This record gives sequence, C-alpha cells and structure tokens, in this order.
Amino acid sequence: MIQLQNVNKVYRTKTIETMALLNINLNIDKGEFISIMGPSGCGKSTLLNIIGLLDEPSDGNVKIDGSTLPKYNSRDMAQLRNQKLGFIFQSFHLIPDLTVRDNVELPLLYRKVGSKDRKRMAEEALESVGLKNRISHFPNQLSGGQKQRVAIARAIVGNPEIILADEPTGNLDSVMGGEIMDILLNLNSKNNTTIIMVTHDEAMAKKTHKLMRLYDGQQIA
Amino acid sequence: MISNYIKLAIRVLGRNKFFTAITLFGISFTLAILMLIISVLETEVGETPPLTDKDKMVILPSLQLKRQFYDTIYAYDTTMYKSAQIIDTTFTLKENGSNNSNNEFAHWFLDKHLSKVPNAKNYTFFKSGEIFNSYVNNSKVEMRVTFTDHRFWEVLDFQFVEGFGFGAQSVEREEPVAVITTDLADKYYGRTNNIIGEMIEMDGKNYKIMGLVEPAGVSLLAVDIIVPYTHAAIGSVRSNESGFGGYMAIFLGETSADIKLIKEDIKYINSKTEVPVAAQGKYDIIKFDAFGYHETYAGQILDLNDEAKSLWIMKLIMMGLIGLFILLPTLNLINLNVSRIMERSSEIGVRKAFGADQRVILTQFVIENIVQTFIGGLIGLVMAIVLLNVINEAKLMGDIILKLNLRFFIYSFLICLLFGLVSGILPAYKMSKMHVVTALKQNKL
Repeated sequence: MIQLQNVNKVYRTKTIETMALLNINLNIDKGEFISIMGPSGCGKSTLLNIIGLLDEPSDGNVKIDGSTLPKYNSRDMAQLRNQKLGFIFQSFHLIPDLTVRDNVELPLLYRKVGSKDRKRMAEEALESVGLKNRISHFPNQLSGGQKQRVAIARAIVGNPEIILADEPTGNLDSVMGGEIMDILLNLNSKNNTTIIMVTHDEAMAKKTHKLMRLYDGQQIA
Repeated sequence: MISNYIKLAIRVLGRNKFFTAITLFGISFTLAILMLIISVLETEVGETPPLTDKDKMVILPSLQLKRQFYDTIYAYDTTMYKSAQIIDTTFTLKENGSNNSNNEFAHWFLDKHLSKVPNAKNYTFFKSGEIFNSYVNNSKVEMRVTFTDHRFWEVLDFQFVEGFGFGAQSVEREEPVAVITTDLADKYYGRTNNIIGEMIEMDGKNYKIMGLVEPAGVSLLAVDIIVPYTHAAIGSVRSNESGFGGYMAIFLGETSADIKLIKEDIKYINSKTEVPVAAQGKYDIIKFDAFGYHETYAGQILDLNDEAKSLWIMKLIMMGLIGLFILLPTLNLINLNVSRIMERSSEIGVRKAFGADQRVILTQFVIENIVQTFIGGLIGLVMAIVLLNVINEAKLMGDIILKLNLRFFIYSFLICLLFGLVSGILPAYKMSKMHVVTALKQNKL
C-alpha cells in the first residue's frame, strides 16, 4: 500500500548539511500495524512526515497504492491527505477555540461533507472512542487521555485507509496510554486500517505487527 | 464552511480579551472617523436635498468685466551703411495691466441673456448673503435672506415641513410672502409647526409665511428666509446697469451629461454678449464662466480663481486624507494580525494536515479578519452616529448639518470591507504559505 524506495532527507543550511534519513526502503501492506522506534533525533518523525505527505523527501520515491507521487503540489497533497490519511499527534493538536464536535468534524469540512452528515459522522466517531458525552466540551475541559481520544476520533472520522500516529501515548500515563493503544489495535483489527506509529515504548511496539528501528537516520531493523 | 469560519472568528475574539479590546478600539475609532468624513462629503457633495440633482447642475457664479491696457514699445536702432547712418524703428504692443471687475450678476442681465439656455431644462436666479436683524422679545434674531424666483423650488428640492414655495404670480405681483426654515421658526416663534399664515418682520417690512422648510444644511445654501426677488427694497441691486448685482444662476440639465452642453451654451452666449452700455466707458471685455456644482463648491472652499483646478486639488486632499486615515491603522492592524495569527501557527499545521490547502487557510483568516473589522465597524458606526449628533446639536460645523442616509451606510460598509481585506490578506497570505511541518512544530495548542 505504501512503498518508500531509497528515500533520503537532507536538511541544508548555509553552513551545515544534516542527513535526517538515509536510504530508507519500506513496504507497508494494507491492514498492517507498524511501529517505528529509535532514540530522539534519529529521524522517526521525519519519516512519519514523509509517509504522511507532510514533507517531501530530498531523494527517492514514495508510492501510495502503487502510484508514485509525481510532484508535491500543495493542493493535490492536501487532497490526498484529506482522503487517505488520518493523523494523531503526541500533543493532541486540538484547536482550543473549537468544541470537541467541531474538532472532530475538521477533516470532513475540507471534504465538503454537508452539515448534517458531518454531525452524524462526528458523533459516531466520538462514540467509538467513548466520548459522545463530551461532544460540546472544549479541549481545555478534557483530561489528557480524553483529548487523545478526541484526536483519534478526528483521525478516523473520514474512514481513512492509513493512520499515522506520532507518539500517541507519549504524553499520557500508562493506564491512559494502554487505553489509547487498545483503541488503535481495535481499529486495526476491526476496520483493517493501516497504522504507522512512532513510539518510545517497547511494550506498545511489541503489540504491533512490524517494528522498524532507526538510528542516525538509517534503518537498522 | 463560511459559517464555521464566522463562528470561529467570534470565539477567537473571546480568547484574549485585552488584545481584542485594543484591536477593536483601533478599528472602531478609525472607522468612526472615516464615517464622519463620509458624512461630511455626503452632505456637502453627495446627492442630498435640497441639492439632490447637483450632478445635473451648472452654476454661473459671477460676471467679469475687463479692460486691457497695452503699451507701444518702440525700438530705435541705427546702423551705418556706406558711411551713412540708417535709422531703423520697430514697435510692439505689450500688455501693460488691466482694469478688472468681478462680481455676481444683476438680475436684469441674467434675465436678458441667460433665460434661454438651450440645453437647460430649468433654471433659477437667486441672491444670497444679506443678513437682516429682527428683534423678538428684546432678543436679536439674525436672518440670512435669499431673494429668488418661483423656479427656485423646482430646481432645488427643499424639504417642506408645512406649506409650499411661492409661485410665479406672487413674484410678479411683489407679494410680501416668505418661506422660512425650521431653525428660524424656532428662534422667531419658539415653535416649528403651525406657522403658515403668520407674519415675520424683516428690514422694516412684514412678510406672510407660506412655507416652512428644513434647513439646507450645506454651505452654499446657508439661508433662513427666502422671499421673491421683486421687492422694491432690492430693486436698485436688481437693476444695476453695469450688469453687477449679487445674483447667481443655477441651470439644471436632464442628465449629468447635459452639464457639458449647458457650459458650451453659456460659452456661446458669452461670445455673443456685449459689455452692458453703462459699463462700456470703463470695460470692453465681458466674461462669465459656468461650472459644475462640485467645481464651484471646491472653488468656494479653496478660494482659488480656477474652479476646475480647485476641484482637482480638493479631490487630491480628500483622497490623501482618507488614504492616510486608512493606511496608518491598517499598517498597525497588519502588525497586530501577524502576531495574532503567529500564535495560531500550530492550528494552521493541523488544518493543513487534515486537508486544508493554502487557499482555504487564506480564506479562513481573511474572513476572520473581516468579521473582526465588521464588529469594530458596528461599534464605529454607533460612535459616528453619536459624534454626528453632537456636531449637529452644537453646530460645530456652522451651517453644515451632517446627514445619515443609505449611501452613508453603503460607503461605511465598503470601507469596513476594504479595511478588513487589506489588513487581513497580508498576514493570512504569510501564514497560509507556512510549511505544514514547521507550523506543527510551533507553539503547542
């Protein structure tokens, strides 16, 4: 489903050149749950951003559903992200001025789904993460675990084929982290959603189908 | 989607109340001042009664009589030719000063030469500027009088509260009738209704009131009482044989395009008109130039000899003032908006991650800014209306009565929109271009 071929990412300034990713080859099949591990600064988030079409590789190809992405035109990429991908961030990234429902509706808004359908789909997504009773709350009225569940609802509301989670349990205690992991595992097994997760937690990584280890931008396992 | 943006814009305003209050104060104060400027312009040069048709009006303000003096300059030159002296003399005529008189017209002159201007649908001759005093209950009441004909009421749409204007017969028969303004009625009778048929004393003569009008509220028609021009007391001014006499003329075209034709008609009449017999001993050139209303108005304010140039300068000054009033707060607002939007860079990252492209982000922030500007605009409108009433009540602008009308609201709306767009687009464009990863790494939500 997702193929990375000889992907390199270099950050250049006037004086220095940093290799963030070096010759990465990765093949992710539909329905796979893959975790990416490695020390801080090894390029995990950079890799996730490239898979998530948020960033462009310096070299190499990214293929989604067998077709190579030709050019990183911002409009086309935005549309692809909206249709195929869902994101979960470590620090939740909920918009504080929007209610829980409005936050969850966000991807549907850019898909131009009608207001009634948006409302229904957001309620269903929130129900699936057990937060339907917090629908009119604002993010600052929720606990960390609740915020992340709202973020998961936002990621799944448009039924994307792929979910990219950047340390989704990193800001949560072990109990809440466990709950979030259970939701993700459930999503993967029930909906056959492909999940790519960056984590520092070995225990969480062990629950996924495949583990990829990075060190200094290189794939070591 | 737009309703979501509006909802969000209102919530964002509530996020940092102090910041919002400062921004809204800046916007509302600026817009209130701009609205006041619009009101002054709308009152003085817009289409408001009694000058609703000012775009179709040509004004003939004054008559110029002139004599040009010339000097003959002789050049006396000698050369030697074959040992003989040759004397060569030439002479040239050179302008050497002139004798000029410039004043308003005598009524007979206008009547004789300018009552048949082919492209004018209607016209009126009137004389303003004289002030008489009357005493009511031992207090002085000042009356600015206008002498005119019955067509005055057809050319100018004064707003009648009671009664009506005098007709042709009243003028011909020199009937002592008058139309007065509500301001004068209030000073003279202490009321502004039921005064038709009452008598008013002016310059030792009693006039019967047949109409009550709202004050014109523009400087060109600053008048309290309007009477027929035929009264004997002013006869000498009317019949001044040299052609001067305090009257000016307004010609009305069918459409604004007629202004040019009427001006050409008057130019042609001028070319065929001779200096009045009584003035021929002193002058040999006669000149009277017609102007559009706005040109005359600018000429009055700037007091330049060239009305067309005055209008151009006045337009430039007004545009400059409005530009300055918009530019400075806009720059300030752009600065404030950049910092406000910077705080939301992480939100921009999230929106982009979930499918918003640059255009969508740009639209969102511009709409938010327009919503903010319109809230400021509404506060500004209330401020402007309050200020306007204070100015009118205290007569801070003399005879000018500032007015509110539909065009005032339309112009104010457009100014709000322009202000919102200009101050919002640049910050929004800057932020919409931000790379999604950079945006997500910025401050946490």
